[in-house]
Amino acid sequence: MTASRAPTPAEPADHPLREALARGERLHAQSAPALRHLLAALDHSLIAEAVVAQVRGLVADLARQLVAARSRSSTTQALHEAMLVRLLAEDELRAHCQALSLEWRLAQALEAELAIDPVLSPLVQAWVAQADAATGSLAMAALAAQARFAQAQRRMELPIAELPAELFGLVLAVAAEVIPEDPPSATAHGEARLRAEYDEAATRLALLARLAQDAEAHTAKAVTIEDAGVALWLSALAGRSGESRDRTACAAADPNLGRLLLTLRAAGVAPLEAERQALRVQPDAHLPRGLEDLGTREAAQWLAEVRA
Amino acid sequence: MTTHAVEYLARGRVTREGRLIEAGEPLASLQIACGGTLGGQLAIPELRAISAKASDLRLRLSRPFAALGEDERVTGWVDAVPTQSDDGGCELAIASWHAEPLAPSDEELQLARVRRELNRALPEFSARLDPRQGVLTVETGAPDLADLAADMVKGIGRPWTDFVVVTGSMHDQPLHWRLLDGTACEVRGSSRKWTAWLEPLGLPEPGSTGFVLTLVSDEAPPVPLSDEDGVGSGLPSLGEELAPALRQPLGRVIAHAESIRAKLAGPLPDIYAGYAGDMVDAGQHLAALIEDIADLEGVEAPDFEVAFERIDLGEAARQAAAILRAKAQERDIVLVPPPPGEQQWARGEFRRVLQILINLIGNAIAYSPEESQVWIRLDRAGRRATVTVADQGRGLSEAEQMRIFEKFERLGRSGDGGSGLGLYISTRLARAMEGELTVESAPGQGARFTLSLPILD
Repeated sequence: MTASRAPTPAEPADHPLREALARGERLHAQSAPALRHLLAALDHSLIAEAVVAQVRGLVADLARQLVAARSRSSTTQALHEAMLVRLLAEDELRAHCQALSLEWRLAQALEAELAIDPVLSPLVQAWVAQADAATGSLAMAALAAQARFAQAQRRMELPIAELPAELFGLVLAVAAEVIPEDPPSATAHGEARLRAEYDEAATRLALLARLAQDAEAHTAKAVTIEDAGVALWLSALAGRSGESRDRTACAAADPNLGRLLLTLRAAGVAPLEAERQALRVQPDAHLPRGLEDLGTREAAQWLAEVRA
Repeated sequence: MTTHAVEYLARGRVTREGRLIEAGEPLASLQIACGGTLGGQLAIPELRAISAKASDLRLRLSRPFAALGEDERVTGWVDAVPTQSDDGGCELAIASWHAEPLAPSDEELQLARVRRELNRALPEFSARLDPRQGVLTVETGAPDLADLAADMVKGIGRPWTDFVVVTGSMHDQPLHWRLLDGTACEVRGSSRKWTAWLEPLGLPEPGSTGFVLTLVSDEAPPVPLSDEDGVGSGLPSLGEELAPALRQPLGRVIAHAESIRAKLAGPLPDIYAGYAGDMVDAGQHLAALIEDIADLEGVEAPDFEVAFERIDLGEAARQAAAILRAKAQERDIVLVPPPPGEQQWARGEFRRVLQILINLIGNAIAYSPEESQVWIRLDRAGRRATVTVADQGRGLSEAEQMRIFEKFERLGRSGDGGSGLGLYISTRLARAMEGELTVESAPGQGARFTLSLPILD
């Protein structure tokens, strides 16, 4: 098949083999520090191998959905690759997928160690059964969303419609850049349908946050991990501490317990109880001292200072 | 997909420009409590941000929000849906709403306390009122409030609001004290803007035994023009005319910055406390500079005179050391004044000698290494009585000794709050008393400043 070979350019610097060589050399140079970092961090749960793989899997699933929604033709493999590369470059999207992966890992670990069901926690169960119709129906919707989340995580999937609105807007914008209109009317139609169908209120994260807010007046159980379960616990902690849910999930997975302790404290959890819960989540971690003297407002302020 | 039916409590509609053109209760009330109007800009900050985001993204959003109403804190959940017609607006649907009464936070209580103390420390006018806000007694030092005080004294027992113009109020006076607390008012005879503060007295019902009324102005009192200055005397004299006018606002800047630095009004990132500390330092520097310049003008005035008296340099040295002992301790410096009983009689003015010694010892403390000593020694040389301040600092070169008594001479130092006027003023004072100020030093040997005055047998 000589026909597929490109003509050799006159300028030796542009020779395709030299280009390939240079590309390979760059990749090789980059891989060494990355590999060293990964090996050193093997048991660091924030970037454990399973988390890295899961993040890539979730982003690849998003790319697949976007390509399917915008393009009808069959030559989608290259498009899919291009889409994946562009999406992986988005910091906020990557951070969101990392937080979801960490949340899921934590839920699995607690199921194995403490028999906390990753889908149906005692608190949610009590709410589903209780008489208050509004809370009951909200709890039911959150429960269903959580069940879908568990299923999707096992399959390394992340439905676009589950993204928060900012990220949903972001991935559509990226898709519009990467994927050519093919054919234009169908593409526009595909995007319009995605937008029209999107409803943040139906996302798992919104349902959990609402449930946590409803629970706020009622109970401290929402910020007790054994009662609330990982998903609701993270939402309630985030809602009460002022931290984002993604940052809260990272804090819960971080073997340095400092951030988690401060988040618990900022959410109004008493010092001793905060330490107990932190050790539940990270049984092998070293517990930093000094929480007993710290007020909730001070904790919230320290967290806000790092954020800024 | 499982959806759960939401019953919305209230709906609203926001235009592309951010105006709230439709709103049901309790949304409408909150809009008004936040200072907005129906049809005006959406005034509830978090709802405004959410509706703007929904319009920008053209996506249905579902978010928690929180807001401060008049006397309640509201938390709730809102769904924001961009309008179908693509006019850039969006509809708000309130899905949940919790309102809880607003208890004053610790910070607010503390802020109120600081404010009360500041008002009490700084008022130019204060009056004691009876429980019906009638005037009982009046006190003022401000010349432009003298007429007000006189009117009030004539009308004791009448409400204080009869004597001032409460701006922006069309209600019958007196109102409930809470509505008048912090209100702006105008006073006949004064061109300044005033704020009235009412501090209720009595428990359990605040105000049951009356009030303290204070009037505070952010503007300095007018400087009365004296006849001698007259027309054509050029720029106002900083020392005599501006210094009194500058002292009070500067004092207020320092006091406020100090309370920010000390976080009296609640927690604050350290970096802001640091800025406030800089403001305190800069303010104190300015205040010291103003005092120095005022002194300088006095010393340089042709009619400057000293009142000669028989003074004990030993007593002056011990007093100066006592005044500066705390400052010396901050740097672990030990002051060694002449022992009690040691005397050296001279002819001069006691408070001027004290001023010179405070300046000399203050310099010695500022420019000596920590944990060193500063000695103050008495002596006599012929017909002169002397007092010497000796330190263990880095000493001065010959060239520096020549320059050090000059006006504004800092010897390259900056940022330590000095004005470069202290030694110059001290020299002028010494000469006015027919005395002299000299320095002996060598680099690395410390410095010895000696004040010599005519002896008195």
